[in-house]
Amino acid sequence: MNSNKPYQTNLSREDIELYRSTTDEAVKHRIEKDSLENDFDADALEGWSMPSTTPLNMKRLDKKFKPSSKLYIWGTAILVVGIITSIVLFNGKKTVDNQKTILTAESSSIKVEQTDVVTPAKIEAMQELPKKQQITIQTIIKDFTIQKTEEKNTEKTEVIDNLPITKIEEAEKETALIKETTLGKEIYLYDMKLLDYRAYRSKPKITTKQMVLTGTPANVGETTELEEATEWKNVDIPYIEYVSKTMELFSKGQNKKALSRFQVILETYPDDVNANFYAGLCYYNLKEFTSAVSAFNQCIDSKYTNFNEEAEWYAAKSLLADGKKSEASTLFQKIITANGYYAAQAKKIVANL
Amino acid sequence: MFSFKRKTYRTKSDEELVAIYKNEQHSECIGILYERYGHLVMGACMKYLKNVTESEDVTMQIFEGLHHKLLKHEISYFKSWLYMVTKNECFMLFRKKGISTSSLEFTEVKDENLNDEQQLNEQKLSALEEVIPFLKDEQRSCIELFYLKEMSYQQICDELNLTMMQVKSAIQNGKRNLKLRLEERNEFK
Repeated sequence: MNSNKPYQTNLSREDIELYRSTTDEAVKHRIEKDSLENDFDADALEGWSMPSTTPLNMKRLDKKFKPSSKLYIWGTAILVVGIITSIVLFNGKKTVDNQKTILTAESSSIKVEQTDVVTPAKIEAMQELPKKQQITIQTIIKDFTIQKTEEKNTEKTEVIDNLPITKIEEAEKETALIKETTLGKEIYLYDMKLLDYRAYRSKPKITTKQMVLTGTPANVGETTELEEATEWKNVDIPYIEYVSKTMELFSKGQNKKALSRFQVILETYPDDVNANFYAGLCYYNLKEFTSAVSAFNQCIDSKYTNFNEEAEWYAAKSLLADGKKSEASTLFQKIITANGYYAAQAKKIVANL
Repeated sequence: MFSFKRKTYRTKSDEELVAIYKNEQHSECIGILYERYGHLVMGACMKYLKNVTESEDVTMQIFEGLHHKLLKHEISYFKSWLYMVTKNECFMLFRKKGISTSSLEFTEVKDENLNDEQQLNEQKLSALEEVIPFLKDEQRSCIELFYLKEMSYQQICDELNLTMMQVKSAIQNGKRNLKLRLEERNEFK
């Protein structure tokens, strides 16, 4: 265990974040079991399990001790004023929704990412689909849960048997290139499937702009006087931490906020299957069907096949919603032929086309 | 230059970092140790002190104190030593406040053998199965559900209708008792 590390710790910060956010009992068990290997780890996990704790509790200490820490601006700007300042700096006098969600942090010093405050104008201009027509979180979670259960019940040999021979033949006809594909390690955050890139990238990080807001509590938040201007700084955030917050926003139906963060991930990792797949869902819910299809196709083109089935299904639905019946029908037929999880639903749709 | 040193230091073991610090008093070493264990110290403090502000203060004191403690003490296994320091600092705070610490298991932590981490591996499962029946009912049930059925703490709480505290305590104490039993049988020598 941890043989590649020069020190002996089973419980990382990422594990703590994951433990606090996941609802997957198997993941929780794995972290609990690992931490029990050492009393220090076990005590720490117990401490971090207390409801009053948040990862923000480490921020003050990080500034003081972390080697990468720099001298941050320790102003007295009040929280709301800090946000107004950032709006002035980056987006004129544009109204910002969800400011209050940023203000709920329990620390007197809060780090705000640019995407929390400023949604790119292109995304801001998008219109949400009526709720009834959106791809709901419940549907996504339900599909993942059923598929996960089916996978558990399927023998490994069956998986090999199920590989459709016709599919291989088609692939050979279409292209002479052989694409290397693999099923990656998965984790679940907010009950939604993600490829666990920690297993494939060394120290995955997302570069984004962040501002440190310091100052007085929210009870003086009505003041409009600008006390001190703060500034955005480029920071590297651990991938899992960034994705976790993004999935939280997505799980709450905040498509625009989530999409702007998925785009930040794609700036660093253009082939990221998690960002492409969930960005595709955001685009769908924001009536941007062409962008949705493009995102799902990017996802399918990746060497990791974890989202292929879902991405094909939602790409077909996006084409249909975009009025491209012929292309949608071709893709639905492909899904029916593959006879996977979405085959029955695809049959119903094709019958009504 | 600092960045280069930092990269080099990150590949060092804890004990090597301590040795470097003793020779060069380079604070980057303490920064790296904080990166590795800051969250463990903070978490353990929160477990014992149950107060976020006090935990932050104690964690800060501990890492500030490393500057002179590393020079003063002979440390053979840094993580265990830091765990002992953390518990002692919490203990001192309790003593200042006049709170009894008898229930907090403030026993001195001895250097752990690194091989401890592999003790409950599959090779020992058969030996474990033989000594598990010697545990008290609650500890046995919790250990079986946790290690053999791979349930999470929450699932065990639901299954046995116990509180989270009871489950964690039963697993930790049960594990300790198992270790003692196995040591008696020379399984883990």
